[in-house]
Amino acid sequence: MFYRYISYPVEIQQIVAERKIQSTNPSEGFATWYTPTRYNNPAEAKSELALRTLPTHRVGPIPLDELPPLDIGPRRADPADGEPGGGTEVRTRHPVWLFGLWAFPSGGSEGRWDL
Amino acid sequence: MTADGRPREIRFEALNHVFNIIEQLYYAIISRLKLERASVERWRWDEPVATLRWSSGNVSRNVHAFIDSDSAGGGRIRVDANAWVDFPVEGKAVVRRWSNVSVGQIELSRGYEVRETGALENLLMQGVRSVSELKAEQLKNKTFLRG
Repeated sequence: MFYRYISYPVEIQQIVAERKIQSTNPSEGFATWYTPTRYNNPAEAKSELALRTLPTHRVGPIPLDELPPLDIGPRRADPADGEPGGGTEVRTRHPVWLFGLWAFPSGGSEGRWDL
Repeated sequence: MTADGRPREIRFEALNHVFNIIEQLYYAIISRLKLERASVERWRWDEPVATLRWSSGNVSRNVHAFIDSDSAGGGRIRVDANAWVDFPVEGKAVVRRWSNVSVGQIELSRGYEVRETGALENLLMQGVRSVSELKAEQLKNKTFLRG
């Protein structure tokens, strides 16, 4: 199982609106990082993944066989910015599409996600 | 950063010309110092950082150049360096011995312009030198990692 930890509101909005998990950063081909570790404490995610800021959201679990091809990892995170790192991280340039229940447009209302 | 410590939306494309400069300097340093098993990477977990990683002996080393943005459209490049070794211990556990050095920072003008490439090169070089001679027994921090 894999999880992604997020801090950027625009990416959270993308997940909710499109049921798509992918970085919103175009500059590295929308490269998107995941870890197999489920952190319930964001401070622990920040420490083991050596992140600069506390993640605000976790998305997952994503089964391994549904994860797109990886271009980096699995590897241990380097130390950075006073954090030890050591958590496992992987990277893909492809999106992950989430299960959703889409209500078709009807009676003048637009289509929407019900779940 | 916002007042509560969360990042603002990042101007991803605007920062890439800064990373292009940093990467050129990294490759020059790799060549000049003949760093072994060296690699350069940018944008990790969507965080604006360019990393030079290399190893010598059994010690892994890195220099990170973080870009911190301010609300006026400028910011700073902050350099941080690390050396570490992962030791397997009994069972599946791993111990990481590591050291971290806050090297310094330089200001970026509005629009993320790098005013003094020479000063940036000196800062990156200072980062490399701050960890390049560290030996495993000199790494002062100890952290248990998941197996």
